[in-house]
Amino acid sequence: MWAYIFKRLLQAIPTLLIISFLIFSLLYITPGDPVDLIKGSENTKISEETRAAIEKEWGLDKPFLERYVNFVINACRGDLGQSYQTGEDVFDEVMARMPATLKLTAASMVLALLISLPLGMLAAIRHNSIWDSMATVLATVGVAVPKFWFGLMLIILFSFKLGWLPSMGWATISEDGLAAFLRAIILPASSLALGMAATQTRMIRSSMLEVLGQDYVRYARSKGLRERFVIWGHAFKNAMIPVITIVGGEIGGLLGGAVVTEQIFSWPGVGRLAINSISKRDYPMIQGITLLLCTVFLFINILVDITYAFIDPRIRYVSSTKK
Amino acid sequence: MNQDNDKKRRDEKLPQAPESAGKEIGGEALPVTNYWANVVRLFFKNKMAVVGLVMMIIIIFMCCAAPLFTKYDPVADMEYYNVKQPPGGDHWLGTDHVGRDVWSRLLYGGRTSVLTGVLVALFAGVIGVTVGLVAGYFGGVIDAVLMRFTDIMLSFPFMILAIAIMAALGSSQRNIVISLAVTSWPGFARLTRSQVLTIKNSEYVESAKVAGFKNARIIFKHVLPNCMGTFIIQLTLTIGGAILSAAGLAYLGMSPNIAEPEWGAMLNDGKPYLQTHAYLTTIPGIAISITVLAINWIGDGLRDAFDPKMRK
Repeated sequence: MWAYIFKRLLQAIPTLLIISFLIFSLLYITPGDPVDLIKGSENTKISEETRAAIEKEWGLDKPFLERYVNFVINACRGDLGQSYQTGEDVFDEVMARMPATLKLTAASMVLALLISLPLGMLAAIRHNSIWDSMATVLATVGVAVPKFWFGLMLIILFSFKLGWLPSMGWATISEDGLAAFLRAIILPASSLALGMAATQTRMIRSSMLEVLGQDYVRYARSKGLRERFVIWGHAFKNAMIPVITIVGGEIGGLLGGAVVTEQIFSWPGVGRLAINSISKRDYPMIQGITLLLCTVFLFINILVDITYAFIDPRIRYVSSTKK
Repeated sequence: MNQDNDKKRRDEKLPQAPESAGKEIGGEALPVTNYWANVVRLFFKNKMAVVGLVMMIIIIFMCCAAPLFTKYDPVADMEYYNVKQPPGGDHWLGTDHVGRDVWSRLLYGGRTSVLTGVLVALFAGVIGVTVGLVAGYFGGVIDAVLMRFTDIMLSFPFMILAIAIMAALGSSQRNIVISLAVTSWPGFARLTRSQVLTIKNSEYVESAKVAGFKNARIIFKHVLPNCMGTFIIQLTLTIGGAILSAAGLAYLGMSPNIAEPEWGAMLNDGKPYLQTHAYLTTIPGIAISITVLAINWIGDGLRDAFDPKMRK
């Protein structure tokens, strides 16, 4: 097991290297003079000496590859450079925003599971019942509606028409208390959770249906086992295996989707920072954000795979025989 | 367990093999039902799929023949004395913040939005299928390198990458297509590869190899046609996803020309009036949702029609 985890961690390194290289070169070829962006002097002329001094200070006078290698070496030390816009340390700035994004992602994940798990299970157990129809409607409509638009609809209904919840803003558990935090997070989390709840419901339903048709379930039933044990003891665990992969894969979508959602609800997370940095062409910041988000995503995926290996012994077996 | 798997694999291969195998090897076609006719028959037996198809035909017709359904020009007809008119009366879906007819903008905007989705899916499909084919067919180092790259692309939070590309290229509808195509091909690559791996070991491909056919001929005549099913399903679902993502990008203000109608840009236009004139936001969103819903129904219908487990 430890060998498996270690191998997965090692695999993450080349991935991160290639991602950072892609982003670095993408921003390198982007039109726009960094010196102008740093000085905020796009319309005014600056002297050659000042330009040379700035280039030297920010390491812009070096060739592309050298700059990239320096970037990687510094990144390993946790230094992702300074923002062109504010001069702040990129790593600190992004990490300061990261908890907000992670809280939002986690909250929508929990919310999606709270909806999809019971609904998907009910739909499969009571096949062709009203629950089944509800699950199908959620599964089809949920993926067709733009998430950010759903968020806007929630704002119109719950904030403007009913006045129950705030349309924007942010609260922390430690300062504002749990109630205020939940009030602030419920709308953005619901808007982000919709698509995920839809795919999960669909997945859980079909996976559960398939498992319920298996021989071992029929055997368990014919043994006279109570239905409760058949479902939770035999079927549930096996049905969850494919679902976990889907959940893991959806996290990237959630982190990306959070960009638009954060913008709508003025949520002070990484996504909003990303949009602001892009509109101001703050390259070091964009680089840092992409890299750190990918790192988070990779680690979550490794965690998912490890969980997966715990649940499904076949995977552990395959990965240990492959070596 | 093993037997089960073998049986499943055999079942999956069976319906794909006869057509080409019959023609190429035996010399005369076997008396089998036509694969595509069977797919079409199964598709039309699926109610939701047919509803989706009809909805999509209506949407495309109304967008293409927009002048038939509205007398207003989506850009030029600005009634400054008549801005933000709520739905009803002469402008039955109301007017926007500069007095343009919302219904007319919806119709003309549909052209851009649907076309964007289709183009993204096509470009992504071509890139993804090529990568998947090459990786799956040739295997070895090529496979390892290409699939590693595909996995890396999949591990990108794709919306962020799309936005970063938009920032690099500048905002225009063409660049929305590019950035979304660049971010949505990995799905195609993975699916095609797994499909190719199954086909590669089938008897008819092996016989073609033994017969001394060139790789190109085997790929284009035997492998590719048998990947069509998965390709078409994925294509349909990608169109829906791309329409949603394009709307998201346009909403963030990545849409270039504010005057040209486009559903995501209309949402962006309605942003400041969310509290006072909600219909400016509601209407384009409903249009997007209905279109994507129709496309997804078609995709689901296709999936079932192509799925060998459904043919009994």
